Amino acid sequence: MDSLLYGLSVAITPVNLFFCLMGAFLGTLVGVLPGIGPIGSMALLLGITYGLPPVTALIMFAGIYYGSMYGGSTTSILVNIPGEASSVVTCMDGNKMAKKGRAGAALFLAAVGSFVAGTVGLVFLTLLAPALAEEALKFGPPEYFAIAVFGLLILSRLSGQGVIKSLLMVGVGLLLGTIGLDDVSGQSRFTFGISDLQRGIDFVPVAMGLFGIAELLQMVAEKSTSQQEAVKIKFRELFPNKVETRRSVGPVMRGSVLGFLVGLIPGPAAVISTFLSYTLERSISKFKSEFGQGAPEGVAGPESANNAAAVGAFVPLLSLGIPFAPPTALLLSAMLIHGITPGPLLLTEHPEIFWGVIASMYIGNLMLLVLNLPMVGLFVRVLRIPANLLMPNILLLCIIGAFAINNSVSDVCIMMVAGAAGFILKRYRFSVAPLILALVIGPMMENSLRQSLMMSQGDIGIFVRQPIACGVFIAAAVLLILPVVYRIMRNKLFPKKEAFV
Amino acid sequence: MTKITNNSKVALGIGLLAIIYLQEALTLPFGSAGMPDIGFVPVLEAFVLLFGCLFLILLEQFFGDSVNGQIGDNTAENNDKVSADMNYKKTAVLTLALFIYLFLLKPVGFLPATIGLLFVCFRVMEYGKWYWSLGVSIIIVGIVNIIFTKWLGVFFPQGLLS
Repeated sequence: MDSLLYGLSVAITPVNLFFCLMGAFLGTLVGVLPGIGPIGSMALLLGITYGLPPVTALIMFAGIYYGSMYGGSTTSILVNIPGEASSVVTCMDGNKMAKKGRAGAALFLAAVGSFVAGTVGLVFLTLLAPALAEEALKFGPPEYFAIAVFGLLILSRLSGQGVIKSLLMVGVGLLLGTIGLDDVSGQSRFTFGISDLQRGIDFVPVAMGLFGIAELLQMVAEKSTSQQEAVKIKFRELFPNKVETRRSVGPVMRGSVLGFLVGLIPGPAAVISTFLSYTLERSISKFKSEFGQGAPEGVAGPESANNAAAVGAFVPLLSLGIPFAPPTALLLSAMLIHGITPGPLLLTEHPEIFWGVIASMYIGNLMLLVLNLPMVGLFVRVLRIPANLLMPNILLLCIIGAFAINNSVSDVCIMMVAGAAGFILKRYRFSVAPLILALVIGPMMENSLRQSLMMSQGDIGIFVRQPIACGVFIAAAVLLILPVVYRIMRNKLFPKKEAFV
Repeated sequence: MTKITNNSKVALGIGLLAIIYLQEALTLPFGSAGMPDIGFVPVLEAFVLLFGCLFLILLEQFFGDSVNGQIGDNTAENNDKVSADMNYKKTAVLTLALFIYLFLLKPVGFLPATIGLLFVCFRVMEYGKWYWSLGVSIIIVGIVNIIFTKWLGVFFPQGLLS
């Protein structure tokens, strides 16, 4: 407690408070742009922190991280374009809520959920950081592989479009994930002589194409451009009603705890936490049929989970100096730029930074809420812009977002191709969310499988002998078999036509 | 003759992709179970994906009605109904514009190429008169160019303006 108070004394100086607010504001502003998620925002804004003292710079950078996380979900809800992989799940119900005129409620739930989850995560971070970090280190390749398989199986049940169709999309995502340099051997593959493909296919242009460009083409195809009237939203509709609030409390709390725990695990934790939370909420909800059609739980749960996971990812970074996710890797580089080496010695050598950053996250989290709740109305006004003016601008932002990743035209090409493919898939009612998430998880899954097999000299029993991996596989098997058993039982008791796809 | 359903069409497309991918994957060193090389996982993935596509196609052919009954709007009749309401001419124009843009972006430069693309997009989406569309395109691309180039350090291709 004394340490946290010391951290607060460092964070609550007018200068640090100002830069914390600026970080949260700028992060939200840039994160709101379609396609520019936390990684893009942090990379673009890193330069701003160069001239600041280390503590202030890191406090501002943490604010940028938080702000961009929230900003990413705003585009998912309003225009159905996820700025980052962890917002893909939010699109599924958030955008449906927006289309039903509940955009304000969805944004409000996302903001409050993110705040609660961030705060819960920070309490855990303050209390458990060193101990949890050691536990997280027990994860080896078999455990990573088990988690990836588990995640992909959950994915196949996410879209509500049928298991086989989702698994096909997962398969395509996995194929795309293998393009480029192999992480283990450094050899390139599936580049077909195109040098730009050597760095692999980034998920951002794929996501922007599959969601943004496909949406644009769909609008044009459906003749719904000029005829579409601007959505009029009343003030009271900006906030969730009693039912939505009541239905969101549980998902926020569960998402907070689940997200934090998943955040400790290496890999794309924020992504995994969102679909774990979504699956959990859908499986226990009384309103299962509403999922995918604008269920508030589908926004509140995953949004809380990804924010809590973002906090959880700070545990290994601050305690061990290991970044488990790309945004924390950027934070690590920001620390190194300012001459600070995170790790076990950070707490003893630079307590002002360790506790200052943690304390500033409490403040930044609060600032983000104060900053964003009044802006819900402003963001919702985006929906009042006629589609034939809004969509070309989104196309422009998508082009810039794709280009800015590597300052490369090839990413714009990937986005356009993904857009055309997304249009066809949308037209044929194939959900693209599993494809994107598989593209993110795929490389980790492949590497961990190969490393596990090398460790065991080809013995697949390694996945059973490791208790954590075995437990995860059992959970995955249960997840896969349980619905089938349930369906068979239901068909026997209440015989009727049943779908396979 | 049985009509090919949408699910089957997509499965065929993905299957074709998997075959091309597999062909390339088979040229890579496979290794062994104890020492998997860079072709190991891709070959497995491609086979599993091919199997999945085949399974879906067979399922659609033999259990088509029950499968599509659940999905509803994926039946052949519904496909025709949906197709009739679609404006494919405009979609084709916009798609073509997007791909032409890719070829022009580097040689012509970001500013002129993007203004052109936005103009086409506004016209396709029926946004006001042509001069309004052109004016709005120029203003928006100009502002965005200043923000990203001057403030955020993103350097777009200069093309003709270099």
